[in-house]
Formats: sequence, structure tokens, C-alpha cells
Amino acid sequence: MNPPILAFFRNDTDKRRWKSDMASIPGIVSIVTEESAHSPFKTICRSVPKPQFILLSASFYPDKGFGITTLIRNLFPGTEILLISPAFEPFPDIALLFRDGIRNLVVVPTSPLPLSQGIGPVDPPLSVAIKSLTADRHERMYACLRQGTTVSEFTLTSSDQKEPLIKHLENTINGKSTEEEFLRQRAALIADEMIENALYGAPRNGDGTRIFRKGERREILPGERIEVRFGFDGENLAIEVSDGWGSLLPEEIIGHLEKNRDRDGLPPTDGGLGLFLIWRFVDHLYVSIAPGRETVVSGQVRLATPGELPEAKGFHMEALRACA
Amino acid sequence: METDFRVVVTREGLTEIVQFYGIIDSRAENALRELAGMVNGPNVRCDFNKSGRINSMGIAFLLRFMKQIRDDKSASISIRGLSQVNMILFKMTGIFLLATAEQ
Repeated sequence: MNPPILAFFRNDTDKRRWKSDMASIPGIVSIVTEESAHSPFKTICRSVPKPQFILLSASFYPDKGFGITTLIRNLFPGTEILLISPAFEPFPDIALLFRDGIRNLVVVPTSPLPLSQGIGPVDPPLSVAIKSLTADRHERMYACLRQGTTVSEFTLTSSDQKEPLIKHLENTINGKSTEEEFLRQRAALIADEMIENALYGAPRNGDGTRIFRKGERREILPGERIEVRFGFDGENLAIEVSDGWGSLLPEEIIGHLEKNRDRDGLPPTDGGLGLFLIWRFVDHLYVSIAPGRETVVSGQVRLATPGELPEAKGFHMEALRACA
Repeated sequence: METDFRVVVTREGLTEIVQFYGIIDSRAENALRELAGMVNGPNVRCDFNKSGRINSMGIAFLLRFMKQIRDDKSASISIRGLSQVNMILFKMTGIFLLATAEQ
């Protein structure tokens, strides 16, 4: 049996807001901090010394003197925090989250998601985020796909394979509706950016300089590994690209997201636009980094009516420890 | 839809029509750099009806091209024929700060 999940809310109103979302998640212990975060912590610490992870309401941000993340870090070192933010609230300041070591965010829509066409209700983003957070790295692809969905896997040997692979991905999303066409276009762009990052962004020299120039034709080096996986269950597309470099830094990702999101005008010219676009076009971004060993960038996208993308997006960033 | 990038420029009165074909990515760099020298304005219509996917590198080169012809040649730029995703992409990356969308 899994250990409980601790969920922290600022007050009763905050807790009520999340009540229906929490109802479907088993093993949650809810804590309302009210005006002081200190006393409930002591009690909870005794009863749940090792929570599975911590759900933290975004109502604590910007932190107005609670210092709740510091307290959580002290009491539960190494435990992941998933910040939950309602879509109607302003997007949390990414720099503050990163300062506090929060690398997991889910933005939850306030209106119920539409029922899918004949294949059952869509999993709400919070459920998908929790499944992704708790799934084993190799099961993550399946966490947001319906059971039995085939996941295709490819190992790249040359940059020439990028276009045929994207074509294959586009063909996997069959159907001629405008929703399917919109998903096909988004999937192609996401795959393009993910593969480009693995081919040209990841390979770096010891001093961090890039080995290959964007767009140049290249063979995969001996010992190098770039894998592409995707699956489509008729409604949800999951896509994942991994490279064997593990050269991406969480600070770098957060920096790119923040810089591109907060800009007022043309995008910065020092890179990172590709990662930002992946984040904006997927429904949920997952990045796992094992320094010097592997970077996995994955995302989930679902059928949607063409139009504006929702502004707010969640992410998970997992930075594993370097090899000893 | 062809995938290889190319661009064709024609003129209709005071308007130059720039027709984009294929995928716009890092491979479009040289062609887009040369294009800035070929286009004079005063009106430039960029037609993406026959173009495919545009990635972040393609966006960067398009921005550079449009900024150059707007700043150096005072060109008035309009855009047409965008796919659903490319329309979002252009809004998201500020291309419409340099050009207007044709209805």
C-alpha cells in the first residue's frame, strides 16, 4: 500500500475549492494551515513521516510570510511537492517556484472537461499529473493513455529520420475532423522540437558548448542514444523523446519558460524558444534529467477544438542525482 | 504538401507576394536571409498557404526577415494562409508585432 499524500490548504475556503478534485484521489490527508503553519505540521509529521508526495495549494503563492515550503522541506526532505493552481488564478511566478524547489505544477481547469466521443470521460489534469508523478519512469507514457494503447518506439540513427518519423506520427492520428487535424499539427510541431533538442541541444562538450549546429545533417554518434516513443488512444497523444546526454539543467528549462512567458515583444534570441513551444503546445510537460546519463522530455496532448491554447500549463521536472 | 522549403516572389502592382512552400525550419536560414535582399516593398504579402510546419528556428528566421524588411525598407507586411497551429504560433511569438493578418 502506498503511503498517504499530504495536501496543504491555506484555509477552509481553499480546501472547499479543491474538494471535488480531491474526492477521486485515494489516500489523501488534508491539512488546513489557517494563519499558522507551525502547529499542524508537528502533528502531521508524527502521523505521516514519509508521505508519497505533497500537494500544495497555489494559494500559498506568492508566499506571504508562511515560509511553508521551507517548513515542508525541513520536515520531509526529498519529498516532491506538486503545486495545484486553479486556471482562473494568475499563473504562479515560475522563478518563485524554482527558488522553493517546486518542480511540479498542475493547472486545473475550473469547468468540467467535456465527455469524449463514446470512449468515456477524460481524466482530469490533476489525476493525470498525479499518475505521472507516481508512475515509474518507464510507465509514464502509459499513465495518460487508455489501457491497451500501442506505444511505438524508434531509435534514431541519423537526423534524416526526423521527417519520416514525424510523418509516421501524423499518420498515427487518423481521422479527418478539425480536432484531429489540429492535434496532428500540434503533435508534429511538438515532435519536431523534442527531436531537435535531442539532436542538437543535448550533445555538448565538457565546457557546455554545443557540438552540433542546429539543422546540420548528422549521424548518431557511437554510444549516443536518441529514442522516440508515442502512442495515441483515439483521444490522448503521449509523446516522449530521450537522449543519452543528460545535459539539460532544470534551471535552464525554468529560465527558458519564464523568459519566453513573461516577455512583452519579440522572443529572446539566445535560444529556449523550442522548449517554450513544447510547453505551450502540450497539455502537460514532463522532464526527467539524470545528469550525464539521460534527459527525457515527454508530453501529453488531447483532442481539442482548434483555437487559442489555454494560457496556463503544468509541468513536472525531475532531476535525478548524478552517477557516483 | 511538399516538405522541402522554397520561396517564390512575384509582384502585383505595389505589392510583392512572397509565397512560402514546405517546412520552415533551420534549413530555411539561407533562403530567408537572401529573401530579405530580394524584397523591396512597399507592401509585402507573405502567403503561407502552401507552407507546412514552422518550428522555433523557422520562427526565428521569419522574425529576422520581417524585422529587416520593415526596418530597412519600411515595408508594410501582411500575412495570409496560416494553418491553425501556425496562427497560434505567430501570435505567441510576436510575429504579429511586425505584420498584420489578412482577413
